[in-house]
Amino acid sequence: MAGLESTQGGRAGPRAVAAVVAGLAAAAVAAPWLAGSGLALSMLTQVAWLAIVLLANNLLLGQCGLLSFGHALQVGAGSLAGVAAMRWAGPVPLPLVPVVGGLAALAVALPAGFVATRSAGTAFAMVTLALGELAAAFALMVPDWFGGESGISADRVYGRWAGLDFGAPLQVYGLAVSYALVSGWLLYALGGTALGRLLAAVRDNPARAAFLGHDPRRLRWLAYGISGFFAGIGGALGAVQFEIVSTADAVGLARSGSYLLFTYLGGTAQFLGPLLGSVLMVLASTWLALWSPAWPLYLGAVFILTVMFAPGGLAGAAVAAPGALRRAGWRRSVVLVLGCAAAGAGAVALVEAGYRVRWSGTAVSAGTWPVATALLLAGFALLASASRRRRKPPALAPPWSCADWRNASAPPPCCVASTSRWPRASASP
Amino acid sequence: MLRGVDLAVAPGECVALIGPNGAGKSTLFDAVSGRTAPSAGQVLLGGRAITGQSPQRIRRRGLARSFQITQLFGTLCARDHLRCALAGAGSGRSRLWWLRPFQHDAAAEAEVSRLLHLLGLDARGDIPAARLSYAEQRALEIGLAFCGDPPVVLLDEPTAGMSQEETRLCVQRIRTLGAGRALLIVEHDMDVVFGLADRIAVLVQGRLIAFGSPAAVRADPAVQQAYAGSWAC
Repeated sequence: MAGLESTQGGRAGPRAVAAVVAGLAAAAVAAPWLAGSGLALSMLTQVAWLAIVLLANNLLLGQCGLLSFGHALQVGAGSLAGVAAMRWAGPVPLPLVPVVGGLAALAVALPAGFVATRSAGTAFAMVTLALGELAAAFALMVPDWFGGESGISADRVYGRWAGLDFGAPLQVYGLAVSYALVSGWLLYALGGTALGRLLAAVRDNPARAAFLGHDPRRLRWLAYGISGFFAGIGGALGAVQFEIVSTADAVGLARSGSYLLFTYLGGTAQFLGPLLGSVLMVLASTWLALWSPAWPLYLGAVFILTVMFAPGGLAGAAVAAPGALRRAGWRRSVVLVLGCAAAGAGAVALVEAGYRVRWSGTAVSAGTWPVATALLLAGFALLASASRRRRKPPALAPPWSCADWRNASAPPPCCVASTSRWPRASASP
Repeated sequence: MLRGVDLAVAPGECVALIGPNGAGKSTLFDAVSGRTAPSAGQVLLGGRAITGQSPQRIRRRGLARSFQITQLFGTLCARDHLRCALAGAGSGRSRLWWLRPFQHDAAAEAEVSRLLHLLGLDARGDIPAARLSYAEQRALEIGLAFCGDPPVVLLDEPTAGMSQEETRLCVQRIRTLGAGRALLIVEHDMDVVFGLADRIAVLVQGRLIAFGSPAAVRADPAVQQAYAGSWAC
């Protein structure tokens, strides 16, 4: 059940899904009261709409095997349409602005996807990157339409619907959470449809899918369009929250890269991985950024470590952790955790001290450097001792080998085959 | 490279394509099934040209193939493989079928169960293909080619890497599933070739040097010269 395992293999049953949805809904309802501050509510709202954006990204990456460097193009299109809907199309009720954003992003995704999905792999990644940069450059070239570097702003309070004017952040949070739950459920349900299975088939072996009668390119295009629609919903919700969009930034490579990075950090193999990714993204860009100016450095280091040691991301690590701990034993696990903590603390202390000395000119106490270095080295030593594997006993050699069989009169028992097989070499007309 | 290959397979007939490595057997399969487009010549399916068409289009027109090296979807179970194959062949497709779970099509599900039984995968139908044994993967590979009742099936070394018992079972399945269809088989196992084929085509260096009944091919001097001393059976 953990992570609902939708993108790579089996799927959770209806009860598990209902339990997870109920749990998420309950957490979403309780969160604002637990959070308390306005900043926390703003962060929760961001988590909600970013979850849609990253889940849509994972439809391409996890479900379809498409690495897109241009996901922000669709998100940005949704944001722009959301601002436009609030600013110029007053008759569009605010609760429907995200749908407008989704449709606008779909309109962008269909032609973009038509070009990009002609191939997969590196070519797809490069084309999406180029499309995003093209859109960013175009947005800067036509500031009257896209607001230039300062962006376009709008006011979300322009009417009342069901007694709500969405002026209060709590109402915006409710809107974002509602869309996140519905979008998440729809994207999860998609994995169980014939289309979802076919997308997995195209991800695993596109050539085979073609020989079974399915057009891999059309399926990829369809996935790109659906992903774009949901990305646009997320983008429009972002526009509703912040009431401004800087188009060039919103569609550029940096934004696409961060969506990709946090989707991966959350975990692409588990359906709920991107949800964790959205939490990490908001924490990194607000809390971590407030705490340290070196936050991009930490983020890069965490990403590298994730790629190296937990390619399944946070969700994958959470699913694999119980088994890994069981195999490692509690002593080794404790040493590993202590080693990680010591090495991490030492590295952070060194970076922070270095940052203060270099950039803010603040003096650090003389003991900081040796203590931090000692912590780092102790952590590495603990990790090295924990990762030292027990030696396996040498394997017994088989009584024969395939090399011996070359001169034998009968084949070895594991290589039983028809003796009348066609001689594969030395045949000439 | 293929030169001057003229080959016809009639409905209900099994033709074996044999020849040494590099003879062009796989190239011929690729040209017929749409993986590569021939620079000259024609491929006809039921009298209609399919030359250079995409693999998916050729599959939907009724020509299916299997591969020498197993080509499966690692994360999908055997049941989903067969469902995808049936959907690709166009059987049982309703409007917006792709937005519904595969399980909603009762007729297709019955066909999937029947095929799983024939392939000996009844109890292994819900396991991801990557975790099936080699023999089970080969059985599934061959089963996929027969999904959706295609009139023409190409099988590329269906018994490659199998033990004698697995080969026997495989031949039995091909006989059962291939009844009434036009079968073109590439095979190196001469027991399988002479056991299954109604006619044998011998391809050497891209040319068809013999095409006829097993007895005629065995007696053909050109074939004997090409494969001197290798007829063990």
